[in-house]
Order: sequence, then structure tokens, then C-alpha cells
Amino acid sequence: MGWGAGSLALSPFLQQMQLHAADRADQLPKRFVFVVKSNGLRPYGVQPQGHEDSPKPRGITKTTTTALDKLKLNKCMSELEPIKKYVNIIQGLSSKASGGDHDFKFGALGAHKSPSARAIKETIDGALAKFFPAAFPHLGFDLMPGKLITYPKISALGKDKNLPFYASPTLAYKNLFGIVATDSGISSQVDMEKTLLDFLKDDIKRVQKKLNQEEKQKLDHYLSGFESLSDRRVKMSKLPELKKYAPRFDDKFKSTVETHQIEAHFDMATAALIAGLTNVVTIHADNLGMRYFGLKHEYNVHAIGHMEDKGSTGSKLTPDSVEKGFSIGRKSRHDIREFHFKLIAKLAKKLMAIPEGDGNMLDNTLIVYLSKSGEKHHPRSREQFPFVTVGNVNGKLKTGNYLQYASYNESEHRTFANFYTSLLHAANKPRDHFGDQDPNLDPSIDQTGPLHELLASR
Amino acid sequence: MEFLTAIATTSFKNRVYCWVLMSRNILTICFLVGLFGLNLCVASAQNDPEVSQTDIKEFENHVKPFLTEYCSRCHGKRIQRADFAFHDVDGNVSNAKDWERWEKILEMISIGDMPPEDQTQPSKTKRLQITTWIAAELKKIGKGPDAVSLQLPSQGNRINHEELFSGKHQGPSFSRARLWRLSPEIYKEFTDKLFPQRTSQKTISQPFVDLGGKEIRDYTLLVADEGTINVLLQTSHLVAGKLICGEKQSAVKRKKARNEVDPIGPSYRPIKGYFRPAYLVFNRFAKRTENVAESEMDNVLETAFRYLLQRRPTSDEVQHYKNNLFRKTLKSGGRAEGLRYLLMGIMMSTEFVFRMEHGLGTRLTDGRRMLSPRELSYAISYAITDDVPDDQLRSAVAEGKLKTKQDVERQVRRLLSEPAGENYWGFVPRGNTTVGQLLRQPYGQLKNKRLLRFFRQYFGYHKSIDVFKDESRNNRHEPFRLVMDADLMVLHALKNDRHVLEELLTTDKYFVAYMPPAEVKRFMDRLKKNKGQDNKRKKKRNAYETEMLSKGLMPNPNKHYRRYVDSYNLPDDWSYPIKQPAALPQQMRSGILTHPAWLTSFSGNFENDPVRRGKWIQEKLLAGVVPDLPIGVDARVPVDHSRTLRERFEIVNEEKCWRCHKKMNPLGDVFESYDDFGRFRKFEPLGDVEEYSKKLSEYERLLRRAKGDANKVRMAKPELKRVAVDSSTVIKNAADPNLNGKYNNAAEMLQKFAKSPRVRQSFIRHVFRYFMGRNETLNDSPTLMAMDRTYVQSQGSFKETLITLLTSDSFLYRK
Repeated sequence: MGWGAGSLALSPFLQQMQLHAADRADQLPKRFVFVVKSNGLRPYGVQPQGHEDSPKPRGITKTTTTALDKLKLNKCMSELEPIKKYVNIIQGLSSKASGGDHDFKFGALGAHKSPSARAIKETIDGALAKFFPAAFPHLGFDLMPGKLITYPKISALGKDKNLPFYASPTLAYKNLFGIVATDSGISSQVDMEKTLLDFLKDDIKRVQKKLNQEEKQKLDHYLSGFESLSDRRVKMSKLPELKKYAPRFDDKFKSTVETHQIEAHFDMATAALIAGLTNVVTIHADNLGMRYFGLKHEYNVHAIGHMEDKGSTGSKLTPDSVEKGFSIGRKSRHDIREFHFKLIAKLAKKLMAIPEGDGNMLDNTLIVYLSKSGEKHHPRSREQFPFVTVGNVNGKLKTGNYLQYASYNESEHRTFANFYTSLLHAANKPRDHFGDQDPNLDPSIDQTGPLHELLASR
Repeated sequence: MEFLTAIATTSFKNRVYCWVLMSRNILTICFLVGLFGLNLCVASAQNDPEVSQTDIKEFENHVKPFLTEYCSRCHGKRIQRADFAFHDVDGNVSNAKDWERWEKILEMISIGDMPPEDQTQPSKTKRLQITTWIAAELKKIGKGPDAVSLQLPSQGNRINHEELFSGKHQGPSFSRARLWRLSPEIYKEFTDKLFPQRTSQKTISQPFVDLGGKEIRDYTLLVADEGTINVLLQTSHLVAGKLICGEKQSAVKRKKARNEVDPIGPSYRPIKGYFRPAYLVFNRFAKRTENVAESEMDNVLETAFRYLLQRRPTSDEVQHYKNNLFRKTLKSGGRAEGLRYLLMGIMMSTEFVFRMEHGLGTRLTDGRRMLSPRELSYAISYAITDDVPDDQLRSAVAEGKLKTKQDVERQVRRLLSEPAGENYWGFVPRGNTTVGQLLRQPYGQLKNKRLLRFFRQYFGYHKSIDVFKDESRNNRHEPFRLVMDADLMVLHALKNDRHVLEELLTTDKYFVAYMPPAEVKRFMDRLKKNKGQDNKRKKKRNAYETEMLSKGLMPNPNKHYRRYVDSYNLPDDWSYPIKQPAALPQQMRSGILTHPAWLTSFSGNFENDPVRRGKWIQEKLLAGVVPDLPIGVDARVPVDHSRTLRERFEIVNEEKCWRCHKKMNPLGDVFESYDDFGRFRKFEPLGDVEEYSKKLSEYERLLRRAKGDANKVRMAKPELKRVAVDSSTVIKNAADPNLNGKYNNAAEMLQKFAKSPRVRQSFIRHVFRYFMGRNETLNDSPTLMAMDRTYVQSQGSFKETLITLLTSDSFLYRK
């Protein structure tokens, strides 16, 4: 949204088809989706069944890889079971390079300490967005009912370049698909906005006539801003896929129920990826202050984060909310993860249904599920930062594995910055290191380079 | 990009001072260059037929002989001082082979750093001739200084100071006819009128971005681009919705009514305040169902212009808006939505987004034109406040009483005489006051915010909050409170308005946890109320409080909230004088540069930063220029726990570093008698302070567990080696020779600096930049000299100096 998008080329569906025909599959767009939840993603919460008690925080000396086809996914991930050959569960990466309490802010995606919530460096989604331009180089969706656009402080292009997120599904729909919308309310707004933009372009030109050269130039920026907005709309209107894949503007876009809004965001993200409107999406799936009314939760996300795993302190045990001795907290966290994974599975399956190159769109799309603070709501050690990935980057990753990395300060230990570095390697934009290095980690441990267990050898 | 990546991946243990200093300016320039669509990263010009060839004749005739005469002895084949030589530099600049060396040569010659002072100097004309040639040649290949970056406030000192104050330049002074994009603060002031509640303010995204950093942030060179438009579209949509629909009623109803497509819902109530009359007109228009009559449209347009642009529309404008926007939007969206898009049109129009300073007033024989009364009303109002012209300014325009210099002076005096900062003084932080409230409330309620903002941006102390400090090292550091204390110091100096700069540089009277009179009264009342009570505990407290008050001291309620006084080396049980500012322990503090807010603002995450502190003094007090680009160096301050920071900084004594660092380090070293939290110190700890802090907190934890019995604690108390701090410095080659000499500490140096005319004039230059929104030129020399005279004659009155500026030709005339 916003940053010079007009100057970047579109990567429409047709172009992709041409690339397949020319057998240049490697040049197919690579897509990345980051789903960032609030509250720490507790490591046990995504462990395969039978391994729920591990991983231990300390004492794992070797990194192990286990094929997921021998295991059953965690109950909350059951929707991913049919496509688990695309799934990776990555455990044991540390996140000490970042700082913060129940929210690492830019540090979660940026692998650096983010003081006073200010963007000081690029985050991984910002970095990837620069490499894979599209009409919307980066699309962000935030869950903040009642707001239009927000800056959730998780994604940045660079220093002080905080990326904006759409908080209002209606507004996002209007800007992304308004041009092909059939809903009368939306299409009339798009018409009026077009009239407005044309009018303002004329207004600037009228004023420019009265100015000296220097000031004329200043207004040129304002004018070109309007022109590139209009231009983008014209280009978008020529995308045949946009109309085909645009989600239907139904009640969930107008709903005030948070779960509906998240669904709307996922629908728009899916359509935007398929239609080639963007290649990098970040979905801020929830926030600490909200309550999952749709999941019939009694407590807000923050309170749920504070609840203990076992039904003792701070949590009330009630017969209908407890399953096998879980506390409300654990049950609620399970519900939230399950809801998120359902949406991720839906997104993945939709992408799978679209052929691309030798395979399908999911082969060129990586969905990364993570949390804003790693191991738990108030992480103490920051030695575990779990990730779940779905999809691939044109075969650059080994998938279908459960990776357990060695514990902190063990020689085979790796950090979450290595994971992000791996994404850059997979995207053919290799770097030695992404983000900051962990100054506390034993100097003998090499913090550079990707996760070799994750990257395919070819 | 590689350069930026290099900075991004630098670990904190290997902080690269030069690069960081450089990166600030570079990033700002990149930002602006991005905005202006210029391309610094031009590919090699060799293959580009478009690039015109180098003027070799000029190189052979003038440039080469110049370099041979003045430079090649130290930077030739045989001797290469500072590891820099250009005996083999390619004179054919457009080959783009040697552009980096040419840029460095240009930088050194243009700021006068080369040839060195003790060598033969070329004439000014000669210097200009050479720099003009190099700049022009570099420009051909897209290199060298671009026009935009030179307009940044940080580059303002490049205009020769002596020339500016020599009296040789008689003007005439004027500013270019210009458009000045709204500042974020002005826009916020506008939206705050409609969204007075904090919760609803949050929904407004800020469309305008300023320059950022510790420099002056609102400058005329700022532009509005696509990013601005994108956000402006959304905020205007929201603002227009509120202007038409009014206030949302309640949370429950709001949920039902939350529908952005049709904002006219049943659960709205009329808005209050400035926009209420406009709302009544708009709402009535939106609610009607009949066909829209011409008169209705005229009425709505008239109201919209009056409340959004503070003027009546011309008949041409009415037709233009009606035919090209209003009718069309009414047709597409009906009454309510059609009106919303009309209002959005006005709120995104050039006139709304930019301050127009064409100069539409009287034309002088020399071609200059005075600002028209309407233009003047905005210029005056936005110079002092963030708000549109007030009623008196508007009526002065209407009555033709804003045409002359005297008229302007009258209005400026009126605005400046209004009590500024009353609310600020009255604000009391309490235990439950959030950081956000601290930042917003007192400052937000100031009347003439721009005055305090100038001091914030000049000194840069407000940036203390952006410097991350690890809580484990000092959990008493509260930068927000420190900034507020520093604000009060400035407001106090402004209130007295005598020797403002001198006071701010030298006073040892500080505000610390200030209690406003209303709060003291509340306290006294409680005391009276408790007087007759028998309760033993209350009796004891009453006795203590009465005793303290009788001594003119404040009893200490809310101790927890005053823990930050540790930053001033004050103990927890320090008794706060009711009357503030009060003197702090002797020899410890001298003005705002030894205020913990300033010291922390110019410090690193873990230690002091003598380079940035020195750079600030060099640029802001001495009007000096520190080159942006280090000459071929990548200096790192080594990590060595056995040496003091000052000792570790000795690496900059190398010739290649010292060229620039001599302008900064000697000035910054005097602040070594304060640690990076701003606490005065006589000793500097050696060793791994972070490790020490961790061990100490662990020790304290164990000690608490052992209920204070140190014998029961298993670990030994961690200790750090300490050495006496060396805060002495020797200043040579200062721009004002009177300032050269040896100083033992910061107070001594600042006392001397405060008396220097150079320091005063440097301050005046920054006042000019901030209030004019541009860098000074030689044409502005008469204005600057008049301001300087006023400052001296009025015994250092900031307001009188400002009045001189706001009634000067530079402010009033356009060309």
C-alpha cells in the first residue's frame, strides 16, 4: 500500500503463463505469506502428536529431522494433515537477538531489537517485498476493528519505513478489488473516487500554471501521486484474473465479528496472490486486546496468554471448557491455533488448485506461521521461537519435516535469524545474515548462513 | 543497498561511529532524493551517449594547476596523507571512474577544510571556480551534491558565517514564492478539533511525514507524494464522514452502525465545537431526500469553504466544484456520499495541503512582492502555532489591518504575549500516568507549541526517548520524565525571556519532579483535613509534612514515581523545593547540555557518545560544518574492558580520522564526567558493565531472599574497577578564537561559550531556519544581523528576536 507502487510493474497471471510456456519456471514469482499471531506460540502447541511434551528447553545436543509422514500432526493442525508433505515444523531456534516482552514488535520478523517500537531496520517481509515487485509490493492485513489503516509495528521496509496494514476489510476490498466489484455500494465509491482523483489532478494543474519552476516541480510529486494511483487502477482493471478471483463482497466484510474479519483478510490475501496483485502478504492475525467472540471466548487474547497450561493458578476450570485436564487458557489457545490453521489450510488448498509451472501455486508460495514473541506470552529465555511453514519456494526447501534444533549454546544451535536468512536464500537473494546477531550466543557458534536442514540441496 | 545492509548487520559490539554519523545524513538524503525522483545511483556514464563530455580544457587550464599548487604535496605520489592521493585522478570526470575521489575533493575544498589552515590558502574566487567546475562535472554523471540535499537544515551552515554577519551583504532580503506542505502537527491540530477524544484520535492516520531526526523537521522542501495521497484519501474519508454524520453515540450502537459504506446511521449525535455549524448544514443536506437544488449546493459549498479553507469561494470556484465534482459524486453516490466526496475534494486540494506563499501583496520596484493580508495571516499563525489564523487575525484581514510591517508586529506581539504553557505547568504526572499521556498531554495543551518545539529540535533533547537503554543496567531511567523536566527549563527561560540562550547553556537551576501550585494546594488542603485526627500514623505523617512545608520543601508523596531523580544524582529521600527551578548540587550541572535528557539523547545504548555530542556543539553552537563522508575510513571503537572510552577513542587520533574528529571529539570529551544515563560521575567503571549489571541484580535478588544478611548470600558481591574520569579538553582552532584553550569540565566550557558572539549568532541562524522553513542565504544577511542586534539590545529576549524575524523582509517579501 502506498510506497511507490505505481512505478512497479505488475506481475499478472498471463505473464506467468508465458513463463511456463517458455520453460522458465525459475523466474516464476515467489510468494510469501506471513501469518503473525499475538501471544507466544508455545512450542508444544505445534508439536506432532505423541511429541507434545517435548521439546525440552535445554539439553538437546543434536539437531534432528523427522519426516512428518511417520507422524500425526498436532490436533490443532488437523486441517493440514492431507497436505502435510508441504508442511515443516521448526523448533528450537532462539530469538535472543530481539527484545521486548509479550511483543517483539519489528523484532519478530526482523530478528533485531526494536527499541520504543520504532522501525530501525527492514523486516523479512519488507526485504522480500523489495525483491518481488507487484502492484502492491507488500500487502498487510491487521485485525483492529473500527480502524481503516494501521501500523501494527511488525513490518518495515527499512529505518522509519513502517509498513501500513489494512484494518478495515471493506477498505481493503475497495482498494484491491473495488475496480471489479459488483456490490453497488463499493462500485459507487470506486466511481466517486475516480471522479475525485480526476478532479484533483485538474486542480493541481490549474495551480501549477501560477507557479515558478521550483514550486511547479514540488506539485509534480503531488500530481504524479494521483496519476500513479489512477494508473494502477487502469492496470488493475485490465487484469482479467482480478474479476475471476476477486472474493464475493459478502457479509463477513462488513461484520464486526473478529473471526469474520480474519476470514475476509485471508480471502483477500488468497485472491490477491492468485491474481498477481502482490507477492508478499503479512497477516496480523489477532491482537492482544481483542476477544474471539466467534470462538465463544470469554477472555481476551491477552488474558488467555497469561493463563497457565495446567488448570491451577489464574484459570477457572469449568466442565464444558476443559478437555483432558487442560485449563481454559490451554483450550482457548488451542482453539485459536486451530482456527488459524484452518484458514491457512484453506489458503494453501486454494493455491494448490491453481496449476503453475510443473506443479501448482503452492509450490511457489511459502506460508509462514509465527508469533510475535516466541515461546510464550511473556517469554523469559527467548530460546525457542517455533515456526510452521506450508508450501515451498519453487522446490528450494525440503518440506514435510519436523525439525528440532539443538538447544541454546549447543554447537548445532541456530537462531531465528538463520531461518529468515534461509528464506532469502530460497528466494535466490542470498545474504550472509539477516537481522542482528545474538551477542550472548557462544562465539564458537556460527550465526551466519541459512538452515541447511531446511534448504534443498539442489 | 550493500552499504545499508552493512549498517544493518553491524553488531552493537562493533559500532561504527563514522558510518553511523554518515548514515543519518545519507538516509535523509536518500529519502528526499527518493521523493524528488532523482537518481543518485547512475550507472557508469561511459556507455551513456547522453552524458556530455568533461570540459577538459578547463581542467587543464585551472583545476589541474590548482590541485598541483595546493594539494599534491600532501596527496601526491610520494606522500599520501590520510591515505588519500589524487596524483592519478582521472581529469575526465564524465568517465565516472574517479567520481568518489572527486566528491571528496569537492567536499574538502568547498567547506574550507582543505588546504589546511597552516598552508597557503587559495583566494575565495579561485576556490569557488574550482568547486563550481567539479560540481558541474559530477552533476553530468548524476553524482556530487544535489540541490535537494543542500537545502536540508543540516546543510545550512555551508553558507560562510563570517560573510553572513560581515555587513557586506545588503540584500534585499526575500524568500522565493513558495508552497509549504502542511506539517504533521498542523494536520493533527485540524483533526483534533473533530476528534477530541483520544480513542477516536487513534483512528486518524497521519498522512504527512516530516524530516525526522534531531534536526529541524518541518521544512519547505517537503513534498506530498503517492504515500501521502493514499493515507490522505482514508483520513479525509473519515473526517468528511464525521462532518456529515456527527459523533457516534455509544459503543453498543457504534457496533451496529459500523458500516463504512453508509455512514449515515441512526446512532449519531451532533458534533460540538468549531465545526458544529458546518455539521448542521451538511447533515441537513445529507438527510433530505428531494432532488438537490442549486441553492442547496451553493450553500453547502460556501460552508465547506468557510470552515475548511477559512474563506468564501469565488463564483468561478463554485461553478468548477459543482460541475466537475459535486454533480458527478451526487449522481454516483447520492446526497450523503456525494457530499462526502466533495468535502474530500476540498480537504485534498492544493490549497488545503499546501500553505500558499505566492506573494500577492504590494509589488516593490525591485520586483519583490509582499505577502497578501490573507497569506500573512497564515504565515504568522503557522509560525507561532499549529492552528489556522484565529478570529483576530481573520478580522484584521477582513478590515484591512494586516498590510504593513507594523500590523504584522502588532499581531505577532499579541500572539506571543498570550500565556504559553499554563497547562504544561499544571500537569502532574501520577503513578498511573502512562508514557503516552506524558508525551501527549502537557505538550498537546501548550498554546504556542512551535516555540517549545523549536528548542526541542534545536537542542534535540526530546530524542532521549528513542535511545534504548537496557533496563537491567538502570531501571530508574525514565526518559519521558527527563524530557518534561527539560521542557520546563526551556519554558521557564522563555517566561523570563532574558538572556535565554545564556541561561539555557549555563543555569544550574533545574526542574526535578516539579509540583505545580494547584497540586501543592491540594496537598495543603489534605493536611488541614487530617489535622485533628487521632490516628497515630496520620499524626506522624502530618507532623512530617508540616515540618517539610514550613521549610519550603515538598513532602514526598508518590515516591515510586520519583525514582528517576537518580538521573540527577539525587537521593530517594531528597526534599523537593516547592519553588522550582532549584539549584542542583554545585559544579554538577550547567544548562541543558548537562541535562540528563540531552546527555541521554546524545548517547549510545551502552556508553557515552562524544562524537555526536561534539558534532552537535560544532554545528549548533559554532555554526561549523562536519563533512558527511569520512575520508576513506571505517573507524571502529574497539571493545576493550581495560580502557576507558576516551582511551579507546584514541584511535581517531590517526591522521585520516582526525581530519573530521578534531572538530567533534575535543568538544564532546568534556561530557565524560556524566555517564550515558546523564548521571554526574567522578569515576568511570572499567570492565564488562553489562555482565556486572547482571551479576549485581542477581546478587541483590539473593540478598533480598536472605533478608539483607550478606553472610547468607552464596555469591560474592560483584565489583567493578573504577578510574578517575578525565573530562578536560583542549580546544584549538575554534571558529571564535576566544574559545580556544583548556577546559576542565563541561560547566567551565559552557560558561565561556555562552558569552561568545559566534555561539549567539549560530543560535540566531537556527532560529531563522526553523521559523522560515529554509536555509539562510547571503541575501538574508540584513535579517540575521538585525535579529542579532535585537537579541543583544533586548538583553537576550527570544521573543523580541522572533518579532524582528517575523517583521523582516525575509519573512514578508516573496520574489
